[in-house]
Amino acid sequence: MIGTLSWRNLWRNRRRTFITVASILFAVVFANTMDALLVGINQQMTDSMVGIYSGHVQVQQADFWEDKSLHNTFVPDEKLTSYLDKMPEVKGYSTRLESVALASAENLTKGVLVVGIEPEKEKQITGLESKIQTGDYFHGNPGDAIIGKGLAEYLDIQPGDTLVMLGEGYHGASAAGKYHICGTIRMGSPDLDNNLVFLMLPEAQMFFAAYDRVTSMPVFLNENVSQKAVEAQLQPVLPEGFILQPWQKMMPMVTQSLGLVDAMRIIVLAMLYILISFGILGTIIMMTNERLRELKVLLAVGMQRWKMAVMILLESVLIAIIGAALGFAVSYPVVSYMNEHPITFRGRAAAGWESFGIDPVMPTVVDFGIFTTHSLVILLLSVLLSFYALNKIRHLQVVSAKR
Amino acid sequence: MKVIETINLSKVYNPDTVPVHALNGVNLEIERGEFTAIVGPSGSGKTTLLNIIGGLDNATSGSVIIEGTDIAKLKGGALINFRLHNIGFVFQAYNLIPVLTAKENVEFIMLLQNRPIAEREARVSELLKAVGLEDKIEKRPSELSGGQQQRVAVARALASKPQFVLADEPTANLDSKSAENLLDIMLRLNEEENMTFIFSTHDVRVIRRARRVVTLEDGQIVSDVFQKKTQEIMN
Repeated sequence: MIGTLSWRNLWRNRRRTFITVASILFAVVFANTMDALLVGINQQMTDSMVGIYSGHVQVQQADFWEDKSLHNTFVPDEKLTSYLDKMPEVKGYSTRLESVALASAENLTKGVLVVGIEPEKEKQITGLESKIQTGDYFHGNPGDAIIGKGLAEYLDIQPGDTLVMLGEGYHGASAAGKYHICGTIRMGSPDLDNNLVFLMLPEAQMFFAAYDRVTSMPVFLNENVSQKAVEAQLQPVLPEGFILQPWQKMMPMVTQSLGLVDAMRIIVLAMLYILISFGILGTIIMMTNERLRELKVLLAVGMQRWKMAVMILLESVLIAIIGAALGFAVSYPVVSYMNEHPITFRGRAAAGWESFGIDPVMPTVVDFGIFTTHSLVILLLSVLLSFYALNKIRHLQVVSAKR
Repeated sequence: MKVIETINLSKVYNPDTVPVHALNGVNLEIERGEFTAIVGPSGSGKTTLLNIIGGLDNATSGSVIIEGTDIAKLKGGALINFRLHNIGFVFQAYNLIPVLTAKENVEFIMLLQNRPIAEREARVSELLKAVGLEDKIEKRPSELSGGQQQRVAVARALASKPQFVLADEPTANLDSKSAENLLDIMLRLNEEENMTFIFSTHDVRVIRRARRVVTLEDGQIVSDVFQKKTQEIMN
């Protein structure tokens, strides 16, 4: 009977109920869409920087992070690689040799970051080939190099041209080489795009005279895998003198940007929830005060206060459930559409985003966790706000019921 | 057999500022099956007396004994429960639950008492038939006239099988025909079910048909008259 009473009470003032349900609906749609968008931006940022370049965690020689010289290179440990092969959490890993050199073409010279990679592995794990802008990916031809798009523009070279590089190799050896540009690449980060030269790993090892040696072993994880759990698993099998370097430490700027987006997300959501709360509270205040006399009568004829409290609570929760369910039903197609057709910036706005190393597109994430969370928060808010009514019921004076 | 006994009942409003003595040492005994009208001018203490007897208000001093229970000693949930099982209320403004039908309004009290469904259904039918509304059971209060609503309120008051029914100015909002009709029903229930009714009223129609008339003035009983039985009055 309490359930029936609550349900029917909702429709006593249909217009007010519709307005409240509509305000919750729009708030849920807005919260879901905005959250899906901001989480999408974060994910895109993480994917482009972590999933494509650094890996979630890197195995490095202990001193490499502080002193990125070729002296802190290592020969990959077979025990470690066979352990990584067996870990289901690991999507894949590769080996890289990184150092700096001077790159010249015609009359122009620029300091560059030379990265020796395993092309096939990188193609499979990171999808590096999809980032090629002009020319081709590595096809095993000796002497091939892929350079950042920005670097290509600076040096005014294109696929088919030649790039000369000079530098210092392992143990002070001279490093010199002449390479054929097979393609240009865009990594999404201005730093990388303006300075990057990819060589095949054996070519880089030969260039730096660091035969069989690498500077890092980036490990890429599958989706929904706890990075911390993997780190804990790997730690005991690391050879002495090696460390696991998480991407958060390697790319503090990205971590900060993610933190900034998260902070923005929390502030906007908090404001939104405050607005929704006032809407729901207004309804609860009206629903309670216009029925005070009726509540007093119920108390007079023998309805316990706690039963009245359940009735009012149920009314608030029912409104919230209707609003949240409709919000869910509307949000899902909206967020799905925005996932398939992301907002894409053009012109100066796009340049602004690119300068932060982020692709100028805003895809949404279709995550039921987001929808569920906001629906539950709204429910929780309704329950909390019902305390106004519960307090009124607690202090109800039955003596005036007959008046 | 005594249903209600008030002993030296007093009620003082605003005792610390401007004291108003609403009741002043009221001693009253009501026997089972009485049809009693509490009358008196405005401010004489009728409503206060009914509120205290009904457990809706507390006396400043004195006590109210209902079927051997001193209700001043009952607090919170226990008092609400006592009201639920022992007292039926009929209000001047009917005060039915607007979102429930006539049947549901009557059944509601029995639901609060956790009565089994078969008993509830039988009692609802019996009571709505007794008040002449068997054809209106699915109507909501807004679809009923004032007189019909008050008849549903009487059925609701009786649904819990209370010790007595308290009615505060039950005919005040009714036209003559509806008021007479309501009185007929209550008198019949009083006689057939031996149900005790206590009214506060100004209405001469109610006073004329009451078997006992207790007159209050300035919070004191100034007269207590037993009249002839209804049938005798009617004749």
